[in-house]
Amino acid sequence: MIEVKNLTKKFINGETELIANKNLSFEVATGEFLSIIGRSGSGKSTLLYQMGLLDHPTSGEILIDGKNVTNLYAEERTNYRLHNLGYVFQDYALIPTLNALENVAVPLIMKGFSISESYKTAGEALDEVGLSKKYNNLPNMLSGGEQQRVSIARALAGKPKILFADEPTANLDTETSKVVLNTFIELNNRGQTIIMVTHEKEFAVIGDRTLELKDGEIVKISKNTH
Amino acid sequence: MYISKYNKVMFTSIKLGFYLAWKDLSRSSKLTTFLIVFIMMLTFLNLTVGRGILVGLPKGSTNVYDERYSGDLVISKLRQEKYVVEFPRIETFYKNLPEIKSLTIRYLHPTTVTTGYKERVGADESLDSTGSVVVGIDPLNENSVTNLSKFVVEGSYLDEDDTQGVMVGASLLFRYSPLDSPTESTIRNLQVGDKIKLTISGIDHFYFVRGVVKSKVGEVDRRVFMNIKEFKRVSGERDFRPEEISFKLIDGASAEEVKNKFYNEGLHKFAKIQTALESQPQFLKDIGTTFDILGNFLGAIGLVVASVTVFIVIFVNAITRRKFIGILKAIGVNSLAIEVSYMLQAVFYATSGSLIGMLFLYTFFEPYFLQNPINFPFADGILYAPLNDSLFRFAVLFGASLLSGYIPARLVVKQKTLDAILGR
Repeated sequence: MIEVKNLTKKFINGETELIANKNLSFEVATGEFLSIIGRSGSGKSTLLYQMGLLDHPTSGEILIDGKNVTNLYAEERTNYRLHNLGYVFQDYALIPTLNALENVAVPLIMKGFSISESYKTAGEALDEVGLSKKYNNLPNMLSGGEQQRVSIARALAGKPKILFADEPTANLDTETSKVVLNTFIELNNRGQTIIMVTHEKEFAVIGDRTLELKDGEIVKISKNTH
Repeated sequence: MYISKYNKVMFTSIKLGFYLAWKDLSRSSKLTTFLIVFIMMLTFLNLTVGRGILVGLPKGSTNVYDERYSGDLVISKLRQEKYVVEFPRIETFYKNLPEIKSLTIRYLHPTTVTTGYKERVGADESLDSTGSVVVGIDPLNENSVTNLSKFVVEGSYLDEDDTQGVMVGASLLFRYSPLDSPTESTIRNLQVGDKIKLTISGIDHFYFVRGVVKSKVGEVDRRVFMNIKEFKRVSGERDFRPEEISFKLIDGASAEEVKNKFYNEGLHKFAKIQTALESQPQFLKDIGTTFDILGNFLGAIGLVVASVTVFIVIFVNAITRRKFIGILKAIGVNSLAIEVSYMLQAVFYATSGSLIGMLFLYTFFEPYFLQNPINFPFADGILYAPLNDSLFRFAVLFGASLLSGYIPARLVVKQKTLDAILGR
């Protein structure tokens, strides 16, 4: 379970202060699929980055399974992300000099798996997202949808507690977006906790709940009916 | 338990660092890799060739001195004596030394060389003449130690039975050494085949000039060489005690050890016994020391430039991949793995560049300068690049590249992960 308590994030640029998130408090249950929506600049990605330990809040706390992860040191955060969190970025964030299999294998090698074990597990993760025949393709040889699925496979291969997705369909056409979202639905049905940021309401409804942000504040948290 | 977990993480990080470096190197643009390795090669050559030529200049002059004059070991008269005294004792001793490959005995006598004496019209007209030293040699023996015949630039080398001819050193001739000072002069009009007058002990002797010798060693190029048989005839009674004996030793023999044998026999009381290095004139040693200091100074600057070059190349490489470093951190790859990856890449570039540079150095530059030495008045300038010197420079470049890989990677790794990914 994730608990967000009184989370505030401010950006200070000279004398200008921008409050990206204002005193946010909510919880995400284990196995839940939470969609976060809002207009551009509403603070949804900033919130995701803090929950995913990629950024520090200005104040407030984040607890994952009861552990306060707000003030971990840089290397502790990296280690925590490795073992507990998975990410899917808007622009796929694949390493261009690694092929699909190797991109997925990197966090597994970091976890201590041998290279052959990592390749085996990475291959299984790629099979799951339907990329069995694309193991050896470099990112520039894959379509946007395929790259995003490699990114999902990489996030899932290490069996994370929580999967964070930052506008995973923003760069994809409608058909490919549906394929990616269906992958998320399947994963969630198998018990994977997912927190997804999107600015499209029609995609947000696939989650169990939708948290709507406006000017850094929660406007509403609604339960979705499928 | 903690230490073992820490070691495991460290091992895993290094393993992943190797993995990422290998993948990065094998898949990055071949042109970029080529250019970086090329720059590293130039950096290495800049470190070794520039200094090597500078240090090679005095080295070349000492080589010339050893090879064309002194041999490996030289015996000469003591300062207070006119000749090498107790020569028979010395001769008996060195004849039994197995280290001696060949030797040449030189007999010296002051002389005045005059030419154009027939053309002089008035008694007040100055003579075309200069002071010199006439040296009696056995042409074959001299050639076996100093290869003197190779340095005949005009005419021919002395024949063993030639008692009518002499060879003159190039520095005695104005066309090779345009000197005209109150204390030193050179002969203006002398060609091979001309007859010259040598005044020895006040008596004039006439010889044909058979050849001109130019060895770049002052001691050789300001002398007149004549056959020992003729020397004995003109030099008067002197029991034929020589002034100089130069020895060439067999390969692997130590001049220092042979010298010590003479010393142990007490023969240093009768003559000066010196290795080639010891017999070199002080100015050559001073030039060597000065050029060495200059070379080291330039080398130090070269090393700093090389380190900065490596740093910039790797830094640009790391900065352009800042986003990917951020991504690696985001998915849980720790700093050590990323730093190892960049350090290994830097080491690869520096090592490849240095090895290719070394290949060029020893298969092209060094043989080239050996075959085509830089023509200096007092030396044949060579490229002096001993392997241990090059290896030292490679080691320094290696260390600099390790640092140069580490520092930029560390700077990027220390950035906030999100800033690196988003390019903020």
